[in-house]
Amino acid sequence: MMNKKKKSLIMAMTAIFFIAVIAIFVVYDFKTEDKPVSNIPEQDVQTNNEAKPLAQPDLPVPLDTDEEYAVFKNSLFIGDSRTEGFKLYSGVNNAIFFCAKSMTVDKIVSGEKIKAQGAEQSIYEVLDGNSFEKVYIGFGLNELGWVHIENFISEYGALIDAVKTSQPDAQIYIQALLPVTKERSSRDRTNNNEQIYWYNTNLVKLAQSKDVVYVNASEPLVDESGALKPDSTTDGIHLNSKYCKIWAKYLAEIS
Amino acid sequence: MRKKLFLYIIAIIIMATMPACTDSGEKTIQNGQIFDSEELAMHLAQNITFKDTMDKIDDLLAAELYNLDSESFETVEVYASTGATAEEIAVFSAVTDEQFDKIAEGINDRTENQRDGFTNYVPGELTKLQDPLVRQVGNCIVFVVCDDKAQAESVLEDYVSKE
Repeated sequence: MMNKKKKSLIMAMTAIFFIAVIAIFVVYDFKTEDKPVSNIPEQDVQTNNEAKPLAQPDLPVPLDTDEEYAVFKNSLFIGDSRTEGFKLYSGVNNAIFFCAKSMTVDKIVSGEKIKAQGAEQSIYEVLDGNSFEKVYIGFGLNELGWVHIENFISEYGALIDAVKTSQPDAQIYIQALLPVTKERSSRDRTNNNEQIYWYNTNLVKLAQSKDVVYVNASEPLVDESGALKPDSTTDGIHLNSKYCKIWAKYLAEIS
Repeated sequence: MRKKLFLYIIAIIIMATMPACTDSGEKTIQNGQIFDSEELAMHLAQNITFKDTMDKIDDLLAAELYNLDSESFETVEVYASTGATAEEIAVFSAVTDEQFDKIAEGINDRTENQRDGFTNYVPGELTKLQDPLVRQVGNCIVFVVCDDKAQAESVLEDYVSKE
């Protein structure tokens, strides 16, 4: 009688053991085959040793100091569709970007929210939530058609003031408005190089009045006439991948 | 007798728990076909006619564009335009049902965001965003925004039929 009870007990414990093993397999989804590896760059794997998702939208990835774009570490880029292209193609992945198509200085100053750092934020929220060493601002393309350039300069100035207030130690750069191609300039009543030159002249004065740096990264992007190189763009305005990298490299050198 | 009954109960419990061990999504991988997302995306980029210059973007940025985290897909390949147009190619591979659902949601988000962005920017691009190509082929979900959807479908079908 006792032996039979002992045997039953042993069998019951054995059964519980097997059920527990199966439960472990179910819970942890143990796989015997290799899972296909994501194509996310290895450096991102190395910098995410904790159990975090590899894709971390808009979070700066620390680079070694001798990396080509180390100068952009802890930087913020604010701008429009051209800055969007810069973000996608330049290879600069250690900065935060606050940019969108059709973005203008007045929208930014008014607090319009766009997706940045994985969440819908205004520029003020991005500024308050981070500490930047450098802030690059690039506007003017979508404002070329404004009736009064004074409004553009006024709003731009308000944006600079907001950045200065939030980031008193950051170096602020006003990026020159890049030109368009000769072909585009010749047929576009708004987006032409004469208008762009006029806007940049005013941006230089703004930079001086606000004691910030005016930086013109157009040198490697233009032909002998000062127009955007024809092979750098499809529509005469937006840079392709190759020239976004050239832009970034030159900006890194002169920043 | 009691011993046998006990063993039968354990066997039933084990058999009952086995299906829950996997959520392979095999029921949603069409025809069991497995495609290389990188090759497929490259084929589409090289053979579909686009107005704009299309370049591959970093996987991290690609996932961000589609509001997806790393758990939501196996691989991602995105070719985007210069910004002058809304043209784009995205190929995601997945293994679980949940991933397929999240990818579909991400594509929907991306399309809506692009529509919002181009409305006051280049309204002419809204036409191609009205009915973009979205197809599942095997383990991949393909998303293409271009002028000629029929041509894109043909290129895709041609690739799938040859694999």
